[in-house]
Amino acid sequence: MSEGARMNWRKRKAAAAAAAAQDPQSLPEFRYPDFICIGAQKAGTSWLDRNLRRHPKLWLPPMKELQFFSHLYIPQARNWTTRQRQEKGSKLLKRYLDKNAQEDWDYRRIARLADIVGGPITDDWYGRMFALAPADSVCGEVTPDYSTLPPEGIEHVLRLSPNVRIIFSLRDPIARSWSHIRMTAQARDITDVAVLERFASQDNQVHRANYPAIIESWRRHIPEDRFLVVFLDDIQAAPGAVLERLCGFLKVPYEEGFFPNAANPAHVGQEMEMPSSVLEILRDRFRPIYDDIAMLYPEYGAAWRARYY
Amino acid sequence: MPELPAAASETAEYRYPDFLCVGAQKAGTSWLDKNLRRHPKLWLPPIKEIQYFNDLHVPESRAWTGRHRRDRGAMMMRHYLTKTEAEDWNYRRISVLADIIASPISDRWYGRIFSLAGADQMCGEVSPDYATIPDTGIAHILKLSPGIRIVLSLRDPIARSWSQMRMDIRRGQRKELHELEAGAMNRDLYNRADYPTIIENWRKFIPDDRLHVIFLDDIEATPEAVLESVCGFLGVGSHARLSTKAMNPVHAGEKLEIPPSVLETFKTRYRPIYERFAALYPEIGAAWMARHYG
Repeated sequence: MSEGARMNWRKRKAAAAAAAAQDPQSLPEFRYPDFICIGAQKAGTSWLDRNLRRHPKLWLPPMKELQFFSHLYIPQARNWTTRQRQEKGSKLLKRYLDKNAQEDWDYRRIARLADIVGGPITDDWYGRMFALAPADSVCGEVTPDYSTLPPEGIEHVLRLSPNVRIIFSLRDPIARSWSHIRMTAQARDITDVAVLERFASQDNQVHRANYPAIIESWRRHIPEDRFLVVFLDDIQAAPGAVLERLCGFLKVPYEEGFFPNAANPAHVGQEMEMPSSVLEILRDRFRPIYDDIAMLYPEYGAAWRARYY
Repeated sequence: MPELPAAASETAEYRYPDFLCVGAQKAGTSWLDKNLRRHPKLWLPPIKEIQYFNDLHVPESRAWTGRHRRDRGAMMMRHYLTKTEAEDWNYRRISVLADIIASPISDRWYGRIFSLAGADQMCGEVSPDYATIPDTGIAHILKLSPGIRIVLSLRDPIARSWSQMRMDIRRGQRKELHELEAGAMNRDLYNRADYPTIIENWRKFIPDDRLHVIFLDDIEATPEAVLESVCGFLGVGSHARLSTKAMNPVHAGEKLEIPPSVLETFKTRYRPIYERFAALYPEIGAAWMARHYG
């Protein structure tokens, strides 16, 4: 463990002990996120989650991807998001109970870990999660599926957190899409090119890569100074600079020592050659998206477009 | 990973008690709690005595309410986690129990506890400290549970008070004779024995048919009949599982003779209680009076 990490760990441990010893009536019952990272999926959000939660003044829930707004507004995702919460939540709870002596248990944390598994998924459920955050922290979560929320979902976010700050991480759309397809295929042991082609043809792929449309629908509700776009290209080239920007955006101090693992990529998918037929489908379908991105972000958009066209 | 019990997201988030046993302390409430929770159509929280309304409306009681919930809750939690295989864990129950122990109390906190009850069950709890909460507390209960049914268990007032003092003696809080004599003058002790006033207060808010009074004398003489009457009152019908436990006293304090001077103090102070009570419940009231005022 690095010095920064050790310091962080001690701080967290002390904060947890202090919370456990506090008079419960002095603690908040509900709180809602100060910031949310809405995606894109396969565009560095795990890296972002992992690094942000190391910052001593930032607080993220015990589990990445609470999938709260997606649960409410993207019902077709409910089956797998529920299963994901059950599996991850029960694992986290068991680990917490195993690793901590009972006299050190933070029962509020135990309650929230159990809630991740047990629900029911409501505004109060969501608000109780963030009530765990220390009063002087900036709290938020990372759920990449939120980028595809319908307008009612975005309005719901704003209703709970009127001043929410939104982080959106972008990646070359075809690279994002192929990473997504690869992940799905590998999880289900699929190698059949025809199936990969079918994945590539799904509207969902266009939907998730259509960054300009996503940005437009969020920006209808969120002013420019509360909406930050970052690029996977920069995360890879200069991770420290991206984190410094993020800290500035979230109004917390930046120190290199807070992020000892900034240079380590998170969740790198297994390599796999993209079949040329899949590339053709994506190139064909994504062309207008590349054009729109190039207008919005000339520097990144043009470079991305030049790779394929 | 086993399936969750029926789509967790569809279960009600909050629910409030259908019934409360509000006391009196030292008058068989532990026995009642233990037996009621054996009934398949009744649901009671993971710990006896949530002590919510007295915590809110009787500020002095905060000296023990939080610790009571923390200690009892931690004991139950340890018990639950060690006695139940992880694959059988009820995560909502774990969450509620952990919140009973450590979270800020509020109406929603209270309502989440009872949301664990089955849809086909009547839910409620036993907190003897509720008997003497002020009107604002009773009104609060009615706001959350407009159709609430109240069970009140009573015991000869002097015997009740002496039982509570014995409990204090065992806990080392009182021991010298002069302390006991002073204790017998205690206002809180008097209020807890002042059943006519307690009943009058609750009746201001609760219609007759939703207030059920039982007596420790009957619990001792015919426990099964008492349980049957309570179940009938709650509208759930008696159940065979109850009768096996009905006979066993719960939390019987150690025997300890009441010092004559303490008894005399009680007899002098409590006389009006006995007289007013006999006017309300002539039969049992006369029997209690006869014991002390011959």
